[in-house]
Amino acid sequence: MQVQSKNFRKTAKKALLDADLRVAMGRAEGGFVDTRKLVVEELDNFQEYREFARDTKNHVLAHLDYYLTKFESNVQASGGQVHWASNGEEVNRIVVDICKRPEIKKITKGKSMVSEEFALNAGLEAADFQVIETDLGEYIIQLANETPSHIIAPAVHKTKQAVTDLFDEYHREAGYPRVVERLDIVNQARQVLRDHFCTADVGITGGNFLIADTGSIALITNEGNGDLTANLPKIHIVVTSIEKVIPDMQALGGFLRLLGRSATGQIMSVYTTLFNGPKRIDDLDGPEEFHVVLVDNGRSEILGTQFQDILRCIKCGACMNHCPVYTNIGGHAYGWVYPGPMGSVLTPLMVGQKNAPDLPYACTLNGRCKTVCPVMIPLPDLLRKHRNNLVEMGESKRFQRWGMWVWAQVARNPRLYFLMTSLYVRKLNVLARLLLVFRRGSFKHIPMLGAWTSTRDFPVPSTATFQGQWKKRKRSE
Amino acid sequence: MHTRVQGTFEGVDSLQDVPLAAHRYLVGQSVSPEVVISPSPELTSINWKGLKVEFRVANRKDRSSVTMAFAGIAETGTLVMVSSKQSPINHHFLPEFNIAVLKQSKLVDCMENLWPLIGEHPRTINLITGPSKTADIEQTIVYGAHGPRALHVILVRSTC
Repeated sequence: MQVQSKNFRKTAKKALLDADLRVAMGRAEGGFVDTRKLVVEELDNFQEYREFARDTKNHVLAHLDYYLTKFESNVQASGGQVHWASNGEEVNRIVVDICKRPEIKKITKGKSMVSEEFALNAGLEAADFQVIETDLGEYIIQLANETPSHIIAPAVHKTKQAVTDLFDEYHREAGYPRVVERLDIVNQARQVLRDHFCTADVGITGGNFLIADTGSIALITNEGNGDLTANLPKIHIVVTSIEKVIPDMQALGGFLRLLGRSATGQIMSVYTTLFNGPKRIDDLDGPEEFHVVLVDNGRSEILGTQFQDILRCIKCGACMNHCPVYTNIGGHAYGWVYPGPMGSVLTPLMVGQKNAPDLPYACTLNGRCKTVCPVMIPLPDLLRKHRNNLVEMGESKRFQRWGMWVWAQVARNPRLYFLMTSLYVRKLNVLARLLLVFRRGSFKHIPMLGAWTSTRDFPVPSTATFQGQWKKRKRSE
Repeated sequence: MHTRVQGTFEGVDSLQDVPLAAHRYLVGQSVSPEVVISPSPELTSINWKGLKVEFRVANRKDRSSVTMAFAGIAETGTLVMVSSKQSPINHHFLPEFNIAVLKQSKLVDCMENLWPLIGEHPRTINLITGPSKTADIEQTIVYGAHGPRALHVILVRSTC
């Protein structure tokens, strides 16, 4: 996927003015948050599972080579093939090579964010294969020629009306009626995609967890499209990334208790499937070939750095669901595959900090993402580290650096701080009286704070600073 | 737990009672009593009187299937399906109505106690928790996305 993160300021502003997006995000807002809260509170030891998941992932990341080679040999032992890809180009080449056979024309695909990193669909289409996304959300955005705007709800930015129009445009020719109701929309997608499932030659899915001990891939979905994609065609290809490996089946339970709850507020997603090799000799169905493409694409470079914690991410989407920036601007404004807090940390690492200089600032440091993260990634701290690095690289604006320097001098000197703040407070109060807004209690405009006051009023401060009031009260006591 | 995840459920005393329960369920859903059944020894040994049955792999024309669960997980209301020559994978996904037979003796309390029961991994282990669903249209849940629209569990109490 092309990186557009450099334009974040522009795209975010545009998103805020997009009326359809405001409707779609408004309808989605809170849904995941409320259901998550209910099922998390129900589990007595949610915090213990978070710590377990954090420690397990840290352990695996410290011994990644061991677990990956163990996984590889167990996939091979069960009759599957493993392919290693260090970057996106290699993935595309490997997958095209597997598919390059005269009888292979149609490829069905389950949802995979990893494959978005290097536009696998475009690569396959360039090699003359027909690729069909089968997750309903992914199918919708494939028709619309868009990219996912959320890592688990890729079409969250689309209104029902938009889907109605889209289906009408693309399905009418095949004789399908225009559908308006939700159930009818889903039914029509079911019918259309059923044809593709049953005629596909290759199925490509992602993987949520790779189990080193057994060589199994755990895939978690709600629709069941992943399983129809994986089992109906003759060849099943899993495209997944290296940091998803976990030690054994006993560890999986803990992760599953966290994932469903954190992602969609479910105690368990509908379909959790463990794929292990191709169909066995006397099995009645299943694919004849099973390939796993293990993708690095920059991840091993994050290992051992101050950003390693982000590799624990299990892609649940809880951080973005709880992020006031994401829930207002949606995912596309972030300009690459991964939006929200985890995206703002990961994108600069994967595409280069200079290509995404504003993302670390797309954060109010409110800390909700860190509180809900199932693997305890300190997201705001990592964003702050990005900001530090940007300043050290000279990537910040001069007036910003200058402002920060002044602030640092003032904040480090309590007397100076007190003096400056009381002066400022007094000045604002005088200004409020002069402008006759004192009684209203707020300013409509303040010089140099235009960006803030253009969308809201600034309250007239109290006549004394906190420190001033504190001292006065102490004296009177 | 299974009903909480929008599955339906009923208990019967023995395997011999399964056909009647399955028939009643399908008629209740206004579906003709024709089913494709997984060729497991438990299911092939029953007298399926009253239903039109076939023991083969499901295809897209089959509206209903009957499957035999390897186990059930009480914590989450999850059915455990293990693929083999007696248990085709597509039976869980292609038909619109899936009836799963689960022996009470095969219930485990949590996932951690399930894994030791499964030896070498087969092609697929399917953990199924309720019927297929999607929330991709404005975050509102609709059942029957790609997999079964309805999942009915018949719990068999007897141990034999």
